[in-house]
Amino acid sequence: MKIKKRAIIVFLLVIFVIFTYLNPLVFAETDPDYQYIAGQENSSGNQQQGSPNTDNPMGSTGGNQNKGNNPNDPNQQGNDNTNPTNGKQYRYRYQKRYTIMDGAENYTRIRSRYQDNDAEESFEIYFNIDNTPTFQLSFLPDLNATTSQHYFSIIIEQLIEYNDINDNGKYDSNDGIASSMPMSNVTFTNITYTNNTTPEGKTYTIIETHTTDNLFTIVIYLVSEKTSFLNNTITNKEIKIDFKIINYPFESQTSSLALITQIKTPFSINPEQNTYDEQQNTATQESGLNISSKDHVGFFSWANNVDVDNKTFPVNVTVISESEQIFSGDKQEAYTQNQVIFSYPRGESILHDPKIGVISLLENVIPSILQLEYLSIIYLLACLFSGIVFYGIIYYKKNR
Amino acid sequence: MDNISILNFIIIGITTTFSIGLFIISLNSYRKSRKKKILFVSILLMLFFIKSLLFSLFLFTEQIQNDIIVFVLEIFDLLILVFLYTAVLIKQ
Repeated sequence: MKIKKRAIIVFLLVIFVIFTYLNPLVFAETDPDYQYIAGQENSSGNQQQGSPNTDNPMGSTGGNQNKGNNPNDPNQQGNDNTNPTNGKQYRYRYQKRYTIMDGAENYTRIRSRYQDNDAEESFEIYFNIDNTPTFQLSFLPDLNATTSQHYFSIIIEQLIEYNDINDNGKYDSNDGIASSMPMSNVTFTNITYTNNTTPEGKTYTIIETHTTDNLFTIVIYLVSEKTSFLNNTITNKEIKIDFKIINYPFESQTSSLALITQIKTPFSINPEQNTYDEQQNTATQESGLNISSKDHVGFFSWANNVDVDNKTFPVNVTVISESEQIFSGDKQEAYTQNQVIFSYPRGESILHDPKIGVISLLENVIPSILQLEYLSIIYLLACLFSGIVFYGIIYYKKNR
Repeated sequence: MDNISILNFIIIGITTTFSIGLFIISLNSYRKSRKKKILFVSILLMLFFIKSLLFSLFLFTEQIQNDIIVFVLEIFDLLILVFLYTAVLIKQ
């Protein structure tokens, strides 16, 4: 009997010692930048969880400058949301349960919230055409926050016509530039807002602007819940963008076009061949860049194919990274600039669709930030349970 | 994190506990009987326990991929231990 008691004490002590030493090791070895582990799709379901932001999901939250018509009605055409009392200024406001969009002729601010378990995340995508068309993604404490954490910017820099001297199908430093169209030198038309409804009854908003000569168009598609339309599925954690290039005045007979964009972020950028949307089975044939910090992951992804004159071709993408160290006073900031160059085949009509969005860290089987703690507990419980079973069987056998 | 990954942690937890439990039992048996056969079984079980412990550590620190292969291997380990456990307990 004494030996049996000693065995139990030793057994429990060993388990205790294992966990005392195992847990600090586990947490010390964890990479703080590793935030995302692929999981199962459940985004649409989770969007419906939690308390609503407002009693009336379509209701106004005040501060809306449109008086003549109801700007919160998603079925209303965005083009009608012009407020003549504001002179040339007009604002468009669209609110759904977890998505707020506030737009004017030169900017669009989209705020979206997604909820998983007891935690929630909100982010903002700010698009403006005052100078160069720019998308800025920031994270917010909540949908109505006045402060935000700037996460990354995507600047649509210029369109260039190049002669592919080395014939590698993409623009690089060896190629000669035949002509270029810096976006800072062209004027974009006022941003327009249009609401559409899918056959399933879900609404999506089309935000559009183009150069005055109609050569380059930027179209943004926004949804407030997972919505499928035009052979695409998008969620309220992202926006789909279309870049349309129509009738570029080529100066050379054999040249091609490349669109140069730039991503600026203080966080790390990782290329992804298998994008978040592909893992969630909401997209195929995509590539992209994940921008990861300790607490968040955002992405800039694009379709691997481009439509040129109604035919599909693979798009060649070059990413050139450059890091910057900025010293101001005694402060030092590290910034990474990534030039993303989309090289398109020559054609009269080019249509390519990238996406910007965030990766939900909280929508997997268990919250990502709690995964190690959660797994440690599961492991401990498994040990404890099996220990009880193990000892129970021996005890039962001996006393039978 | 998928269900297979969680199952892996549960099974490796059970395997670790069973291996240390069996190791203690076999060590006690050896102390009583002084049979070399049991000593070898004890050493085997000790190695099994160390392996399970290292496996757990690697899974936590993501030094090995936590996927279906790990799951299958762990199921085999667990089955071996269950049979060993049954063999130890059965009289004759």
